[in-house]
Amino acid sequence: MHAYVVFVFVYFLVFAAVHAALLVLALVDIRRYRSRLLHSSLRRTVRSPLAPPISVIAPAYNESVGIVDSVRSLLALEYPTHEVIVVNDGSTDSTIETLVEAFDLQEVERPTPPFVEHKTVRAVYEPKARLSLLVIDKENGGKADSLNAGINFSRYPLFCAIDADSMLDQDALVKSAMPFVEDPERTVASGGIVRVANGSRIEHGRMIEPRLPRRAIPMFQIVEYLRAFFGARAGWSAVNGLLIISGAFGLFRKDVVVEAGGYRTDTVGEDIELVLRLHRIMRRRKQPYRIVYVPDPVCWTEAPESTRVLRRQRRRWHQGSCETLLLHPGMIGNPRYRAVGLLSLPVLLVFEVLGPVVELSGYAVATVAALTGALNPSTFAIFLLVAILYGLLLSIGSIALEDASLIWLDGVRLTTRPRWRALGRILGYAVLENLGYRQLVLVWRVEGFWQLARGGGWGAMERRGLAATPQ
Amino acid sequence: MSDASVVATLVLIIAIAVLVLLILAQQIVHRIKRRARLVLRPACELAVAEYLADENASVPPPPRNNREHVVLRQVALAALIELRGRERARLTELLERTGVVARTVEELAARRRTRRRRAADMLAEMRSDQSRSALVAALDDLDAATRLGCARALVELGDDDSADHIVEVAAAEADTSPGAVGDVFLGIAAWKPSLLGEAMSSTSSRGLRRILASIIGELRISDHTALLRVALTDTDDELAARSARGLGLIGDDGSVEALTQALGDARRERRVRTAAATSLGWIGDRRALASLRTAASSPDWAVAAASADALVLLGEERGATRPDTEGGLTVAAA
Repeated sequence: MHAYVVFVFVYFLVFAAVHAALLVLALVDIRRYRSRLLHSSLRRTVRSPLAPPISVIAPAYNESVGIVDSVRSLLALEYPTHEVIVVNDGSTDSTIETLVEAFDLQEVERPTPPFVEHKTVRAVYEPKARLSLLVIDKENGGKADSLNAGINFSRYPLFCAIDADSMLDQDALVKSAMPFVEDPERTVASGGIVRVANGSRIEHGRMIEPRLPRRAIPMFQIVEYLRAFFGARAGWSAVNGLLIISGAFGLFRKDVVVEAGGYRTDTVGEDIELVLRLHRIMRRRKQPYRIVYVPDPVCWTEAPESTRVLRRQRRRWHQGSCETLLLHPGMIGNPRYRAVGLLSLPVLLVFEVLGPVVELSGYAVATVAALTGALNPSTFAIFLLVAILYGLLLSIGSIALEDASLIWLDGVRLTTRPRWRALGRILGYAVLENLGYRQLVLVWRVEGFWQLARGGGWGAMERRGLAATPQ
Repeated sequence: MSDASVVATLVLIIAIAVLVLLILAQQIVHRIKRRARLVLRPACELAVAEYLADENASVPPPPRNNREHVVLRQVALAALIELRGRERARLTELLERTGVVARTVEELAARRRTRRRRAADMLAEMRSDQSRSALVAALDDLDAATRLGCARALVELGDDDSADHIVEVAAAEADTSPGAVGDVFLGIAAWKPSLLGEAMSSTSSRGLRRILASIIGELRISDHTALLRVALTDTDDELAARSARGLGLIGDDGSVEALTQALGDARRERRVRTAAATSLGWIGDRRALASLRTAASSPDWAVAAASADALVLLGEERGATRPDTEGGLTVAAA
């Protein structure tokens, strides 16, 4: 029992060192990005004839309520050349009829390109007017399957994968395409930041006034998202070890994704799995490449507001991470894959996948040890306090980094109201999340193993709908 | 262990407190600066607008402090994007006479490279003759991004004397900063398109040739079609694909033969063959019909689809040459 307590202590020290290093790397990455971002960068990208055209692919399943606003907002994105491809994934509601009516679509005869596999396409629609929109109606096969269909029908060399119910800021496409403009041959994928939109004022698929949510569950998720994007992704991006480009918003080079075989439909973690395969392919090609996180293009998403839906989401995320590692065991610790093999994947395995087990068992064993006298209760209490304080330090470090990046990059604030109150609330929730929420999420993540064993699927995400957010 | 834990606890509490104070300090400083600028900005915008609206208006007084200087520069840069001709020249003159250009030129010698990069970028917007010599000197800056920023600024200024130096600086970074080099050559294409041809024919850099092929094609610079035709036969497939697209965009019917050869060359990568097929469709020369018909039944679906689309542009009916999906699937999977 004593040995296990020592193990947990050492584990915690390594965890602390890794995450402190990631925070420092994130700071380096964001400063580097800031030094490259010039007064004229965005405008030059928007006007450049060398800016690669982009196909924006939005899979939609039963999205009839907000789909029209979402598509209008996507068509209005600021970018020299882009097309919008909506893939109706066998919706059982009136998604396709709503689209046909709103955009005056007509069915066209198009052979299905065979580059990546997906479920059968039932029909392809195009607007009668000159509008860069294509609607694909296919049999239900899930998000990954829909993205594959979108890739097949896309005309352009880059594609942007988004959720149909997420919202992109007007300049998000330009900002996320900048790495491709700066370095078109080496950049393989880029992703921006995903922010929680709950509570914000949204009109016609556009963010009008960002606000913080009133409820606790999405507030906790705001702290988690800040930690994930500013504490981890920016850090991994600095060493080209990024493993995740969020499924809600990511830009990819189509030729490499097609070579990789597109999205896998047999895993719930298709976003992380694809990025891992891209690393694999580029290393195999022996070509210099980069997969980058860009800290200021914003995608707004609706976070779960109930513990039931959040539990399902976290179990799924954990299952996705486990599946990805099981699909690519040879990459873990493999020096051939540089930072990905030697750093990102081992950290994913040891601290993300196994972390919940170690932490929960640590709580249990230390409690038993303290009760049986094998461990001094005050030592246990102080260790617990140190662990909580360190978690808090990471959260506040990420908040500080986010705050600095907003000032440096003149980015979108979480709220347009007086910032002090918002900042106070975020800091407050960073403290509160350690008192129950964090432990609850750990339990759900452990349940992810059980779901993995059972081979669970996506499950339904119950959304109130961003477009329908009360004003 | 207990003592160590207590020390760790204290260290963490102090670190958290420092971070929170850092966030607060950052916010306070940001707010003070922002508020001051918001106060100054309307008056500055009004002064600039009045100056631009009235040809006889006198130049507003120069900024009295750094804050006013920053605000005037921000307002002017935002306006310069929209202005053309005489109004633009007058605003540049205002920046010169109020000392904004001189201060920005001073920043070209700053210790921090970020400041130097930004100064070069802003001087490119200002296009002031006052900055010319400083920009030429900064073409030898230690930082590549600053050098390229200065090169772009000199292109915007149309500095004939340093044209060769600009091309040399840009060409040297073609492999490391292709995007910024592309920006410089896009400017050169509008200023002295002949330099593009010279650079394309003299360079051995694969990266630079790719960039130049794209620019010549996308800007449809028909004077350089001969260079694109040569590049189409290059062993570098990326260069060949870009050249094929460029020839199609220009609509060069003299390259139909070379494009049909590229289309039919099975050793070529898919991207070259599809670009060749697409370009043949754009050019619309019926001499390509036979090759396109053959390619429309190619086992490579992408080539077949591009050829089928090109045939439609040449007047064939869609459907007569639909690619074989099953065959394509085999090729794609392979």
